[in-house]
Amino acid sequence: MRILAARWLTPAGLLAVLAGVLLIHFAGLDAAPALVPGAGVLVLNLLAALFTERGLHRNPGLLLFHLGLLGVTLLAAAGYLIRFEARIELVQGGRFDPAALQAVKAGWLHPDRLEGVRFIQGAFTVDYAPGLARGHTRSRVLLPDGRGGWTEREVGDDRPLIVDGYRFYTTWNKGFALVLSWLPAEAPPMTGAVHLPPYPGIEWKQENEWTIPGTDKVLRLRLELPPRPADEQAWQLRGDRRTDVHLRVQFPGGERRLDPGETLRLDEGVLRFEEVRGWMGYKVYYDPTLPWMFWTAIAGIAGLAWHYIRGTLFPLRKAAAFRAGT
Amino acid sequence: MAIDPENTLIWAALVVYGGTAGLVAIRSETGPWVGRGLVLASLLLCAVIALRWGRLGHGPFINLYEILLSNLFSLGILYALARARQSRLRVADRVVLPVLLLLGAWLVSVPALDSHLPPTYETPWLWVHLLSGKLFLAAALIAAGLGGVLILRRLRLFPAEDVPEADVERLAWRWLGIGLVFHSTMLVAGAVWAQDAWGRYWAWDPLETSAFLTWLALALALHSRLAWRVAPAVAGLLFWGVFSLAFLTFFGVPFLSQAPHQGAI
Repeated sequence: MRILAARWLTPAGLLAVLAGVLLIHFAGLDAAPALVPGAGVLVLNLLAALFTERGLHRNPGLLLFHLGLLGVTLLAAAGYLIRFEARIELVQGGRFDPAALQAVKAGWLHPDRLEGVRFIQGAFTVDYAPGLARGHTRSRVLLPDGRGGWTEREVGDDRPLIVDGYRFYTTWNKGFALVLSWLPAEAPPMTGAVHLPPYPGIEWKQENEWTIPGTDKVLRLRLELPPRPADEQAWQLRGDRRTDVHLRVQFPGGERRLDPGETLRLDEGVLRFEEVRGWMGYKVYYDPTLPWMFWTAIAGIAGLAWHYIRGTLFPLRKAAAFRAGT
Repeated sequence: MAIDPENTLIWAALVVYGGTAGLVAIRSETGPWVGRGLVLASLLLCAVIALRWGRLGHGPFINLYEILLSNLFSLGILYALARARQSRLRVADRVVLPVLLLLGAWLVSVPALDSHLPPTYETPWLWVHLLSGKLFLAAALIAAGLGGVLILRRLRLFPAEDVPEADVERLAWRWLGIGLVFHSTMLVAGAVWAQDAWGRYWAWDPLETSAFLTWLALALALHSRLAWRVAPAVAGLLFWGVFSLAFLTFFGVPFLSQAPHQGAI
């Protein structure tokens, strides 16, 4: 116990954490393996010091701060195991579908409750200041109102959508999607969206490929948008249904320019260009330890503030004089 | 020729800082006029901030010029308040004032570019984050100022004062501890803000990494005093080490990229 509580072990542990941070930054090491050795030493050192260090017992503020540090460290570790992170692109009118999540990172102990998450993407707007400086993002989503209907909510910037503990954050990643209907000769028709690259980030390349179902025939689709306002002007991107656009389709043996509602007859069936809608990219995050970690950190800082600020700016002798009414 | 009122006021503040620092360097004692000089310079900088704020519609939060301007103001006024509350801090005038003057010289050498406020900056957590950061930097500057006194006294480059060395050292350690309070608050407020804005409370971006290294350096310095007997001059070096890291975090790392948090805006 005495060795674990040794005072020199704290600077040693802090140095190990410092080395871990440098490894994360310069060698690209994952945070967990880089920090666990140093943090482990510090946790053991602190646990032992709680029993043996009289200085901590005599100073309740300092004790609270160190308990707060211990709590934050353990909660961060728990959060790492329970956490869920992913990205998703949702087209206007599209329902959230866990199968469409990308770049999924889930902790070992993540309780998968994504099947219960329900919402529908609405229209969105993004303001741009002169110089193409991104301003406010306002994304409307529809949530179940509990009475069989839907209620609208606006999210964006510092306001995520929180459903069943899952947080959905709007991102810089957004753009347009082509809504296409495919009417095959001998199968039921289907309608879907082909997402184009982010706009205006990659506005010069608003194109994508689409493979005709059941074949290996690839169509090249390119969206022709009216020019947006010049960079020197403020403007607003509207991720809403658009009809002021054209679709250029390259198919084996030819090319056609379609207006919304027009069709293209191919050997395998008919392709109808319905319209263009916006898609919004979300970051999905789940970590139920966040509020616990926040309040634990606040309690720890309050203890440290009590310990240092009271004694420095408001010395005890003044407090005593005040109590004595002088 | 049109006169730029913001630039004129900054130069006026620098003249006040320079005059005060010069008088402190020449005279053997630091009288109440040092505090008045600090307050006057801070008021002039406050006027610059107000003019700029009115013109741009947002506070000085974004580019290097704005960060230097706001920190020169906050460091000056907070140091003036602290030394008014604790008269023994006046011993650090000869170290702190030249630092403020250097910061001011840097400010006038930086182009006063206008900035755009990112939408994620419209949150109350910005204020908690920035105010606690400024309080931390002021506390670290005071500790470094007192640490400078310890080093210069050891080198016999500092005149004998009526504040004993042990008192200077004890005061410096306490201000370093206060710095830890505000640095921890800054990290927590920044983490809450980052979670709301970008969906992660910590991502090891260059500024977060540098800020955490500063926090570790603070904790290391405070715990080294518990673990070993630290000589006053060594303590002075530790205080300067922490302040230098903090300085780098505030004025160096953020401006290696276009924004304080690289890529996050």
